[in-house]
Amino acid sequence: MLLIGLALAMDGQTAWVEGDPVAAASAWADRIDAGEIDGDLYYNLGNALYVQGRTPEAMVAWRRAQLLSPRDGDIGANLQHARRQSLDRIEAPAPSNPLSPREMGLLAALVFAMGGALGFRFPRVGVAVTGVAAVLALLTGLQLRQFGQGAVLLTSSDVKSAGGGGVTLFELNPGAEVLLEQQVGSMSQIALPDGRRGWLPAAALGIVDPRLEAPR
Amino acid sequence: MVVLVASALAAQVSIDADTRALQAGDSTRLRVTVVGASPDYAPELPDVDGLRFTYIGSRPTRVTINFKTERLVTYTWQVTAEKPGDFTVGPVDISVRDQTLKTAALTFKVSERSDVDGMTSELVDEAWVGQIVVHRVGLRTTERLLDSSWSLPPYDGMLIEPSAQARNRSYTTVVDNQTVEILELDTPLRLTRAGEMSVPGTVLTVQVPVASRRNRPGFGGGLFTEVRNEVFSSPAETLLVQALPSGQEENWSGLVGRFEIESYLTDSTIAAGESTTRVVRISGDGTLAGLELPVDEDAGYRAYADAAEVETELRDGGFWSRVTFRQAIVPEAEGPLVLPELVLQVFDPVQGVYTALVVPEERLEVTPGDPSASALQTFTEGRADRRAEVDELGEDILPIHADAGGTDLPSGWFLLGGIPGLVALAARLRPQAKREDPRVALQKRLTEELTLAEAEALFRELLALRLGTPAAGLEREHLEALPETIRGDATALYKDLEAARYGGADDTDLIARVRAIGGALCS
Repeated sequence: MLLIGLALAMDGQTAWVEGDPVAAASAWADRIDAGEIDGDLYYNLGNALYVQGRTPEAMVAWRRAQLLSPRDGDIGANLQHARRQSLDRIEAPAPSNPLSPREMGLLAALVFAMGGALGFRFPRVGVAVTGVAAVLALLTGLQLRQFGQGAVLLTSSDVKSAGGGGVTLFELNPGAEVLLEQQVGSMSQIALPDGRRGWLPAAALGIVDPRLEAPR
Repeated sequence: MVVLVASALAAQVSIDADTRALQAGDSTRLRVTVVGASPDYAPELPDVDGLRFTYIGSRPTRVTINFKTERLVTYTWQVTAEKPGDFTVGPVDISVRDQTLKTAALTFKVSERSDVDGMTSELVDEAWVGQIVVHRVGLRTTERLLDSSWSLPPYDGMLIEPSAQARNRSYTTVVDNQTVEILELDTPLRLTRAGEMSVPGTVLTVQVPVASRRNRPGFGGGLFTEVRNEVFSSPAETLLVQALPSGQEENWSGLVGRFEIESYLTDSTIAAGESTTRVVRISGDGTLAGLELPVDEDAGYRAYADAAEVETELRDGGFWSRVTFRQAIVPEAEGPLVLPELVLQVFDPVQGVYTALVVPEERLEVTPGDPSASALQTFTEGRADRRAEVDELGEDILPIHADAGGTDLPSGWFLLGGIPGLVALAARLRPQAKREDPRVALQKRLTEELTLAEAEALFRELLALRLGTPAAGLEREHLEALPETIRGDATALYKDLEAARYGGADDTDLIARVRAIGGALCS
């Protein structure tokens, strides 16, 4: 498995170095869809999409990478670079947690183990530490639940007052970053940081959830 | 004024004097300094007709230059001017380790003797528009001066030259064995208008200690010296400023003064695509600030000029300036390249005519170059740092991460890490939970073989547990709180156990009754 992963990694990297971003993007997306939900892979995929001129898709990939590696400065720099090219001046969401879900999970497991070990000698301390571990585990779960709450517009779209039609409230351009409130059928309700809400086709959105299929 | 001369021995020698402008009869000090070497013997000054030298002595010290400690020896003479004129001392020979070092020459200008006390003023009588003249005013006094401040007069038809600063000097000399304090102010002036100009006197305010008991030495005079202010004014001057004559040509530079020009290329053979630096230096007694060199169009090369470097100085009552131009010359084709002659027309105020500063044509050989040669060029001379700032030509995303792979999502396997600890915690907590349920333990004891005393104690513990009362403090009245279904039997058993304990009562079925009622109490 590791050898296959390394081979695929070389494929993406080799294609990138040889100037074939399409093949590189395909290789990295394949690895992600095969289960390697990795911040670096998403970051590389974003780069490969960006050089193809597919900036909104690249932003989706980089936003996903940022959820997985929130302290990676390269991701933030590339996102900033792409945001300067977008047409809509929308306040960019800041990474909410300096720890990635994996790090949070590891921390919870570590504290959990500590709680058990301490409980053998100091039952009350053990119970308290185990409680902290439970809270950390809960926060990790909440962090994972937030994965699907961000979205990036892939195409220009009118934002309507109702899912089935209604009045056009405002228009958003590719690269606009919004909050995804709910998805009903083929329509999604989104919100802007200034509080404005509306509906647009779900297909116009790239959802910032690393567990979903990688953008291609 | 210090002139340093480097030698092959890496030693440096210099010659300087407190002042080089003297009046006949004045004395000043002359020093020869040797840095980095020990002379074999004290140097001797050559005889100069008009000057008298009296050797004072030598003083060796150590100085730190560029973090390196060097030996420094200073030889001092008193120089007395015997008559007016220009007198040159040196070069002075200094013998160091069988080699001879030479200082620069030093020229003293000795004027006629004037009154010892009072203000003096020196200014040329005639000059030309655009010329730089130096107005020197001074005070000579035998009194001790503590502080001084100058007030410049309004200069009508002239500007204080902005590229140079007025020079304020204070020194002492000896006249007829009497110490004379001298204050001097040199002000460079650029003449801007033709006509007869009058220059009012320059005002000097000095503080002089008052002769009093308090000011006598040993009376703490330094802090509480009584002073008086004295105000002096220099004599007014007149100056005839002439307009520049006609005859200015297309290459008129605007310079007025006596100038010299020199030019050279840092490399006379370069590869195509590379550059060489052409250095042009002009120096003289006129202002050079603001001068620009003419640029030849279509001369077969491109020229990129650095900002001109201008130096100015007031020297021996005169003005001196130097400008250095550096041009990066980039040939446009291979082969010989001729940089054309450079001609600047200037006005010579001494001769009163226009003259030309000429740089003859210079030849440059351009060889075939390396097409991949670096485009980073610099306009500086050989030893200077040739690196240039790397220009930011564009902005792009950052490069990919080479070690991508794996997964950054949390895994359920993480929980396995906590299982051993959890098991340990459970194992620790379970026995504690058992100990905390006494009814089970008491119920178990009911089934065991008991003596009457043990049965009574067990019965009291069961009652205490049921009633929430400590067993030791249990009284018969407490049993009223029991449920009605067992209250009667329990009260009767309590009474029979008491009777058996204190003797006389039948105890044959008491243990069996304890087991029966105990079971009811536990349920």
